[in-house]
Amino acid sequence: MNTMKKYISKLLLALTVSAGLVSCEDFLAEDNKTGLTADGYYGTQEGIEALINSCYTPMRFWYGKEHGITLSDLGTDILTRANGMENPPLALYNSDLNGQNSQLNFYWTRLYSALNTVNTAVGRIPDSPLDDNTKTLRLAEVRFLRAFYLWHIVETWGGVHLSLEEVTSVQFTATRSSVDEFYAQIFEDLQFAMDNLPSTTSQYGRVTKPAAEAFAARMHLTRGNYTEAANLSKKVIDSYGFALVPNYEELWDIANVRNSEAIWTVNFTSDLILNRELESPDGDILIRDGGNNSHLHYLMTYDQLPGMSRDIENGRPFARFMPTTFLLDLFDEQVDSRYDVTFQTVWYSNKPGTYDIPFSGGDGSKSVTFAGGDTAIFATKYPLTDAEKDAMPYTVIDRNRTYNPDGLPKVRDRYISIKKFSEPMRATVAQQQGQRDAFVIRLAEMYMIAAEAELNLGNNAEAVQYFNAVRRRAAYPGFETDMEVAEDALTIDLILDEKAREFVGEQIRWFDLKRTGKLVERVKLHNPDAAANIQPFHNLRPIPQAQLDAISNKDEFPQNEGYL
Amino acid sequence: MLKILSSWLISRARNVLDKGHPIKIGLVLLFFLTIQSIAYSQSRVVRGKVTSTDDVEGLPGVSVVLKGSTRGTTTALDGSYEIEVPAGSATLVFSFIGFTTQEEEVGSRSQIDVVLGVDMQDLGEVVVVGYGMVKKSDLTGSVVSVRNEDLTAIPVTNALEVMQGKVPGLDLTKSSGQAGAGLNIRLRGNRSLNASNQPLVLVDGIIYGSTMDVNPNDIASIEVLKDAASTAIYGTLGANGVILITTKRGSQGKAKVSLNSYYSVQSLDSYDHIMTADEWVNLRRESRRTVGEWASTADDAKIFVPQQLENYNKGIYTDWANELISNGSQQNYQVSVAGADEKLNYYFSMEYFDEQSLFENDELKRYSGRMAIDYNISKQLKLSTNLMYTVKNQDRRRDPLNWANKISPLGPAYDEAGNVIPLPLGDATTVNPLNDQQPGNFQNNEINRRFFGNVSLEWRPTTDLNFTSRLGIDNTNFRRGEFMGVNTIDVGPDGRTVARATNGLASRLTWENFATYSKTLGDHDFQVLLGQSLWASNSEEYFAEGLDLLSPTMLFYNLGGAQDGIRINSFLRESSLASFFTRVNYKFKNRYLFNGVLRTDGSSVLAAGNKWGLFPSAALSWIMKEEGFLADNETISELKLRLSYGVSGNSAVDPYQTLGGLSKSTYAWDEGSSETASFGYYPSLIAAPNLGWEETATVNFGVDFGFFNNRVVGTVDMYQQNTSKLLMERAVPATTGFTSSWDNVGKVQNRGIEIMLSTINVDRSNGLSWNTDFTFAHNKEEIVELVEGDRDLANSWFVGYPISSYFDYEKIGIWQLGQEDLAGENQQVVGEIRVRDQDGNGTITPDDRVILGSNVPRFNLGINNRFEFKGLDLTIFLFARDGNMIVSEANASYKIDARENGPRVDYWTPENPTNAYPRPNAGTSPGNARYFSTLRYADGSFVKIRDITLGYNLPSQLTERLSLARVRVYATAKNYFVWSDMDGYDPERGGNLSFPMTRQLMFGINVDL
Repeated sequence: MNTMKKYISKLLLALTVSAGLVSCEDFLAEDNKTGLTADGYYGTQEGIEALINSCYTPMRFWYGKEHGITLSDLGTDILTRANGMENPPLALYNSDLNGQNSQLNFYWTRLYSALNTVNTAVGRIPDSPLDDNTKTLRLAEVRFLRAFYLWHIVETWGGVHLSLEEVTSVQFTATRSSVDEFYAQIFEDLQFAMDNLPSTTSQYGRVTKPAAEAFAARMHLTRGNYTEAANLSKKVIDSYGFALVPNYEELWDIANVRNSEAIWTVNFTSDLILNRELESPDGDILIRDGGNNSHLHYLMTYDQLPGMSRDIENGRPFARFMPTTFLLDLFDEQVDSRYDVTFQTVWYSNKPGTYDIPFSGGDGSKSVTFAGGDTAIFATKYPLTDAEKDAMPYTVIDRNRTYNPDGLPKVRDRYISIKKFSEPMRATVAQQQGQRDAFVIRLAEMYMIAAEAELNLGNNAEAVQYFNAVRRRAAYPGFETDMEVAEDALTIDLILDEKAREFVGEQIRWFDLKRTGKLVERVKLHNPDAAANIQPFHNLRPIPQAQLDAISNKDEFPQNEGYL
Repeated sequence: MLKILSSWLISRARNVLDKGHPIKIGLVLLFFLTIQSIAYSQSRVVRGKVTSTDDVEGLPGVSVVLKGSTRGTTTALDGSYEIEVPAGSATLVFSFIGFTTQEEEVGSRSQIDVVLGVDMQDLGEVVVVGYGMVKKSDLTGSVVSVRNEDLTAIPVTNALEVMQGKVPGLDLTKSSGQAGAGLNIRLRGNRSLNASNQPLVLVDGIIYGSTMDVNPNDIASIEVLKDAASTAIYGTLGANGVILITTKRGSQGKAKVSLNSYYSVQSLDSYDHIMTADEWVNLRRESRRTVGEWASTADDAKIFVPQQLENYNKGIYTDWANELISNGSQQNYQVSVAGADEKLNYYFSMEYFDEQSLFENDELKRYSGRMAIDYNISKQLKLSTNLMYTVKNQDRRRDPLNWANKISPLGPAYDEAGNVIPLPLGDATTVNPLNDQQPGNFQNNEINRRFFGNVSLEWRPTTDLNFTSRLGIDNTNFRRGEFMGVNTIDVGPDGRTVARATNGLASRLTWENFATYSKTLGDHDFQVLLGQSLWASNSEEYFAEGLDLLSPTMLFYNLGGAQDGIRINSFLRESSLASFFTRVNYKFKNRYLFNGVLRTDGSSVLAAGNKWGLFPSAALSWIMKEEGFLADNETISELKLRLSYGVSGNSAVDPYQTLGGLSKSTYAWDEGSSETASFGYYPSLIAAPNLGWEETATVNFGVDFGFFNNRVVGTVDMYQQNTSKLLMERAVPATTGFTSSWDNVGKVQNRGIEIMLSTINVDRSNGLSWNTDFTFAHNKEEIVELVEGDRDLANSWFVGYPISSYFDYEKIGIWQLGQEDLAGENQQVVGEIRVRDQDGNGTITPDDRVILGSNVPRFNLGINNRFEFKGLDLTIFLFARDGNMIVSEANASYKIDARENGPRVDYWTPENPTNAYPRPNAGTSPGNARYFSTLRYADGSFVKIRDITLGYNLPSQLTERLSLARVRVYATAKNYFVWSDMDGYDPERGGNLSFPMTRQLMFGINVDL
């Protein structure tokens, strides 16, 4: 037994020694060297700046992106779906537009994530190691961004969940706040921003005082505060040295994106890495490799037609969106330069050769030989006879080829294409990342806001001055007076028509129509794809079913009215 | 390990025999036989002593039987024996558990001393359990052991695959037909909602992980520990069951050299029918007809790409999948040498394995080597080492079928000269799926080098006490290189080349110290285990990527040649586990067994304050056959009852989940001449400051039985598992700014019954035999509690239903002509999917969704029949899985908008009023068409003859002439017969269309020198 005891004590000693070699607490403590935590990182100077930088990035999901464009330009009077569109219900308002819509869920998720990021910044900046001036400045920036994101949320879904605090523990309820409460917060945040932001910044892309004022002007117009809208828009026009770019074409020159008219843009760049968006714990959240993708979506598939192949100049045609006949007909292209700047109607052959082009009537074809640079495709918004078309030595896409007499598209891959977002600086034609900054607010909108506000205040004389300033800039040289509108002719519809010409594709249309109460009316009149479906409840989008499924207070947070 | 056991058995036997008690049924019988033999006594007496290579003092309890008779005896405490043999020629057979059986011709000898070798190949009735071994008869928990002969009867790539249908309760399916594809393994259902449900796999006691690259021929046995009483010794790691793999060691005697090889042809029985040119053209026309863009073929020019229309009219089209799929192969060559002498025991093997899947550029080459050495330094000290090195070189093909299945068929794959046309469809968009297999155009190569080994030192100061210290190292080092050239599926037409390389290092360190003390006092047998274990793992990865290489010939070997889009990244993940454990085995009168385990674990991945957990278990067993009232029963040859209860844990979540986290964002400022980076970090993961263990408590009741002299043996287990404090990644409302969060909530219950039956149906003296093994497992998995209420819609979890339940609308057909009004009430039109109005309120709302089914099978069944006759053997193995619903990619890939091609389906048109699929409609899309997801569900039940093997052992006259010990040749047909509801599709694949399951025809040979 003695030896046994000896052995047992030896054994116990061995076990104790081996266990004691490491301290269990140290052994089990986690030290995440790769990752960062909020409390650790945001308490440092570089951490809080990184948080503030993160507040800007989510704008890249909405601006210059396919589904952001879909949510702000489609289902309006001016654009409808082309054959490549991936989310037809948003263009059609058919019953497939419901809480299951994956793109709506994406934006719901990303916008609330953005809101939490800005709320985190708003909450943490005061206690950060930044100096006091920087604190105020950065707080003004992020409060502007909060107002900006809240506007997207409230206009898209109405009075939904208004959160102003960093979320640190999981909540399973959501609260419906009123639209008024949203706007009260938007104006409070904007006031702080306007009071504390500088007029300019050396880091172009950061929000400035005129940007805050310009956006506030838009918000006041939205809420019917016409005096404030007029004052702010005029202040932006007069006070900061902004000026309309002399002609509309230069405005869209890729080398001139940073111009005297741009008040607030979402930055994109030629650097593929800096053009990205967010990473997530599950991987990157990138939409089509990042960048501005607007250049892809409006182009018809010209490369399928004789004499043409895809190239950088003509762009990579995704064929998502096409103009309505209403949009095309809004332009008097004889005097208004914007038609030719906005639309591509001629394609020059980049694949020379001899081709058979079928006759319009069906039987037979014409043999055509293209040299490089010869017209290969001609598109016109006017109807031509078959004989006229067949006589031309290239493919002709006339109004009748694309549209029925009532404006309903007959085909969705042969149409006049919007080209103002083109990206000729891309390295390859396949590259989806565009570098063009997305104009969110440019000076022309201030003129239009001033015009609309003054019109609503009964000051037609003043209103028409601002209105005509935009008109004159759009005119071909020598036709300025032809573009002018008389004081008593100005109406809200004329303003909406003008905004269509000026801003098509700039992601404001849906909100303008909704704001003026014209969405249903104009869609019924001018968009035959959606006319039969649209109803007043479509002024709000459906709340994602994933949200409704996840909350425990389902009765207090119901689906928006009208959606199944 | 085995030596611990054998010495333990010996010491017990010695003690038992000292007191005059038998130790097992066999011994009891042998005692009777001994007594009987005395009655027969005549002629002469042979005496001798049996020792072993381990124990020169003498082996007690060894059975010594006169061959061809029932006469026999057992050795005494000092290993001595005495037996009477008849005059004339006689042979004695010496056998003992864990040792090789030895025969000795008596001849004229009267003294025969025998040295038995430890048998590592055939562990007999010994079962490996955590930190030790027990005799099968002494098991108190639910453990299934798969033996050597079952392991190598049918060649497999993945050693665990052999257990399919052989272990009741183990639901095992192959994940795909890709080269080197893994397995999906579940033991007794799913417990955890989000944490891992994979069983713990250990090789020679060291955690191995789920990447199973052990050479199957090196495996001596696989044990599956199912109930908590068995798994509790692994504490938190064991909640999902434990699979113990024991590798081979050498055995006493002359070196044994084995050569094994097989070659197989892999092919595809049939593939899902993708629409032909005609079918797709019609679909596209119908989809445009619905929206008024197409009325007759005169409108074709409006809806087709001109070149494609021309091709169609000329009859030029391609079945892309057919162009891609060809026959694959598998080949394997393996050699091993094993042997032992008194001091040294060695095993050495090398393997080469090559698998070519159905696709070019999808190939796995595996080279592995293994060496195991045991060395007895002294009687008290033994060194063991067990080293494995595996090199895998794998080319992974980017799944080409997904692309092939959706592109238009209206184009030629090859030009007239037979070259692949890069853009075959005249639209500058659609690349040829064959581009990826053009030389130098695509590469995704992974080289994986794994060292796995352990060294251990055993110290046995007395025969009762054993101390083991063991260090295990598992190091994997990998490089994944990817290159995608222009016109590959991923890069696209005119795209810029992509080169990418990832280097990684994963290591796992296990250090364990444990001691075993065994003692017998009278009727009482004790064994106590006390131990401690530390486990640390870390993985690092380094990643670099760039676009637009200066030359595509660089592949990924010169990332400096990338001109744009250069990205780098890296990460480190570390986790650790510290454990202390103890186990007590107690046996009274050889009939009543008790087993108690206590283990405490601390895990780094859980929140501070919740890191430690305590996991107890207890088991009782009653060997009824040992009782007097059954001892003489001739019908019942074995009967044992087992009852166990225990708690095990699960902390299988990724590291750092409790801390919350930030993710990177990118933006840029324009600062005059340049754009400057403004990277940021935003909150992306919400902290889980209270995350703790998930706990599973299991009650298991089992019966082991044998009838008719063990011609029918079997086991029935019934169990109930209650898992609580589930680790779940809950979907949270997006209004929080997050979409999911880790939490401990809810309860899941698994109840089931498992039956295993082996019968000897025919055993003729002429050598004809027929055995059947039958396994059946039924498991009912249900959530019994959620955080709130009885349903969690966001996660699709419902009380009373399995974790993976499908919650959706119930499709009842298609709205037909004449039902316009009814459809209109639901804002629908005819030709659209009609679903059931479950609540009968007249409109379809999200409240009308119901639970349609789950991916958990109702039961698994395996029936293995083995026939043998004069060297020939035939095995037919049938496997069935029933009652599971799967999401069929084929069903879900119906292209309602005809923008792309897809599987052929019976869709609605005014002329074809089917109720199967909705009307083609260019005005919607698969992602948006209402209730489209209801199309995807399919019954995944199947019955298959998984393999048929015909083998032949060359007659010994022939092998002797060739100086070979054994030669076996065999042919196996795998997966040739599958019955299911899914026409042309093997549901074991789980619903995906990529890398379909293959069937294989194999030819193999085993040679022992």
